[in-house]
Amino acid sequence: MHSPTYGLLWETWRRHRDTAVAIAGLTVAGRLLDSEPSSLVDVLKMTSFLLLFGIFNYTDSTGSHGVGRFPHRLFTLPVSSLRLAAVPVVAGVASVELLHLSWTVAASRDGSTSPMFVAVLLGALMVFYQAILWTLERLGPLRLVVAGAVAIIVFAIGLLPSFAPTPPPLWRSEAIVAAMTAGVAVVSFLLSWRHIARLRYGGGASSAWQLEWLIAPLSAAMPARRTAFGSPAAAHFWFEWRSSGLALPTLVGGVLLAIVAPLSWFARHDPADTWRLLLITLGAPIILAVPVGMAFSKPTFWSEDLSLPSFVAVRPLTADDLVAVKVKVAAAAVVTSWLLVLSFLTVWLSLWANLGVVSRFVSQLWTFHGQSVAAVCGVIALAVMVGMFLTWRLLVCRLWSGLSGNRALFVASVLSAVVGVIGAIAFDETWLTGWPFDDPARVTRAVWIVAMAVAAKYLLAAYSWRRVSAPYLRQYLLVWGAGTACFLVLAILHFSRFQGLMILLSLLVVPLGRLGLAPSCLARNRHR
Amino acid sequence: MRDVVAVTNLSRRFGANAALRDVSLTVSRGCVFGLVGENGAGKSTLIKHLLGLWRAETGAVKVFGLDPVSEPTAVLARIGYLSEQPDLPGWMRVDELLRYMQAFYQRWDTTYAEQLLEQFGLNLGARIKTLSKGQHARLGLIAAEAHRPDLLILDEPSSGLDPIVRRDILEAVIRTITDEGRTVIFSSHLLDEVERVSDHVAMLHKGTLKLCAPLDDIKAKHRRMLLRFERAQAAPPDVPGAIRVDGAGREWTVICDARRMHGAAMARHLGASLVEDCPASLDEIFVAHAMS
Repeated sequence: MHSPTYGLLWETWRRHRDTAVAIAGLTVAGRLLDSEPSSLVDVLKMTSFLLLFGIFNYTDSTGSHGVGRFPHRLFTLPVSSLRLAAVPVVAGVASVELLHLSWTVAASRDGSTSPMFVAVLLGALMVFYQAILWTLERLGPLRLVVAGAVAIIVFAIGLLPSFAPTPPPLWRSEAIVAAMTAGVAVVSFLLSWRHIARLRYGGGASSAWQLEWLIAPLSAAMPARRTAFGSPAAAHFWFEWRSSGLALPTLVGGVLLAIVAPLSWFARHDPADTWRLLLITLGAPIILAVPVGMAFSKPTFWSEDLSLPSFVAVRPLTADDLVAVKVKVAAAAVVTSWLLVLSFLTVWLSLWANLGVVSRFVSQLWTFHGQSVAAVCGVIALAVMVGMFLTWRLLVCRLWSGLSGNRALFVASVLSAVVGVIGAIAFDETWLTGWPFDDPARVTRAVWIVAMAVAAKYLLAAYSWRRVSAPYLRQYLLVWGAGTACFLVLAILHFSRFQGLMILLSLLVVPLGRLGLAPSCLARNRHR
Repeated sequence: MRDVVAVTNLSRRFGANAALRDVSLTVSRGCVFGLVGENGAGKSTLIKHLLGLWRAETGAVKVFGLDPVSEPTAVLARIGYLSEQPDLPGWMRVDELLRYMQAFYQRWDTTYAEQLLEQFGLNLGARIKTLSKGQHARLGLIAAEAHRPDLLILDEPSSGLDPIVRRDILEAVIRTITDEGRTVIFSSHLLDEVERVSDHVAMLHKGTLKLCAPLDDIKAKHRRMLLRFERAQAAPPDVPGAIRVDGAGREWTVICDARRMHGAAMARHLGASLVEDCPASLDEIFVAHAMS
């Protein structure tokens, strides 16, 4: 290994070779399944690109933080700062282009965008991504949110040439847009290089950005705890809320502001687009709760380490108390997120939305429910409650595996969720509509299977809650009862056929047994 | 109850490695208990058992007469703990941390905490992640000490810190024991510090408890002798009862059990002259037991 460049590349390969193999596997599987376009192929493609971006984050983490900083250990190597910055950037761009090339046939077959244009955008995105991670060190994990927003912007740039009129004016042509994006990427790289060089010679993030005059007063103005806490549980609730509870409302707010609000303005004349955006808005907390729930279920939100931090472990609180606080923080996060959604909907639908399709849907509901306004309002309120319980369920259902500290258990639990999401995306809904009518005995079999699942759930609940203190059991049974009642009422009101099956499914939604396991799992993690 | 901590036949394995082997010790109320040993000797593992963060594989651990695993809240409410690793959440401000800690401990003394803050020159509005390593240790010390715990556990508190912060930590130990009935367990490999403040010392080596006795007894029990031979010795002289013999050529140093050996008689027996015979330092005793 005589070349420093080769050494730097080898280190990246050595750290991430398992991921690289996974990417290769996904690509091969995607190409084998590529006989006709399907959602599954899209999911595989997306996953392979996400994994590749994961490889080229090129940061060192301390273990307690999920996203680290540019590796300062490299600064003592006899290598120029330009090379330190350029090697990961060039390797990242080359890898993403190679991966794009591997998928090109599938990507370009039914699209109007040329593969070369997509290649430029992907390369630029890799440069932006690395620049964000390295230069915005002060933002901590929020850099991932910024990177996500930049990815959406790049995606939107990719759509610019396809907007009417066709062909687009010169400034929106693929060549000009690609050249401008590449130019911005080069500037981003130069800024990253300058930042790394400054870091290397003692300059910090603050000296690089010269924003201390702005950040200090803003930071001082941020809300801070000024009064004493009423109880240990209240203090720990505040700690959990600040550490992990804010993530979902922040993401939901970000999606509403950065994506839904601008799109709703552009689509304000189209009732069908308004309807689609309305569904996306209502689905946002539920969809975002899937990844947030995976992180939320761990003892530390942004950390890869699953052991309970000693700062929390030595506090005089029982495992029941710690889990109860997590569950309450999840509820607070859900309520805040849904309040954001409902506030946004109130403003959007009353001020600039085209309500054509929405009005038709409401009038159908009105007819269906005996032309009663109160019934329609009740059903909408019930649907919102169901959405809230579903979001909350996704946040807390994996607490037992995340808090256990057992990596294999947690990874298996997360993988089951990932498989579920992929299955849901790839699922052909036309199959479901025909399925019960082709053979009515299938429904009977399904009822039996679901009934056995319900019985198993209650057996597990009886086992898992036996050591949890009685006050917590009573409180949770109230919550569980309220949530299950919402799903039951919705099933009874809207499913006249297959009602038995839907009622049984309603009994499965809100977690009971698994949540009862969480305190004992946490106790095992705390007292290893 | 006289004993604050009682550890009986405690063993712990991590895979093939034994971190603790059949350790038994007691810590009396009101004593400063120094826990010494090289890196990886098992000091932090023992402390984690006392805090209930590790479950005893074999043997038993009692703190205030309670099992810290089955009754964590009752035990932890009476313990102040300063971790070896900086573990305070970086996003908190100093005042937020103190309010957070106050909620858990009924005996939290706000005046005392403010007094320590002023003494250490910490800014209440500063974020913890902006503090230096020394400031971080001082803040951890305030958080551990301000509720006047019955048992203060300091796990390698001086590791990597400058002499001024180390002095603050030692003063905290002294402050703690001036309150009657409070106990300190202090782990370190800086033996001069342990020697300065401890009245009882336990020495761990590769998970085994080599020594556990009052410091004065340990020092009285060990002597260091310097022997000079007329001719250079190719191999260490065979000194009966020696814990360690070290040196080269004509001069050899012997660390031995003073009760079992008379220096002048031993030198005569070996055909050497006794150049020096003095009490061994804790440092020398530790090295002798660790290397023997």
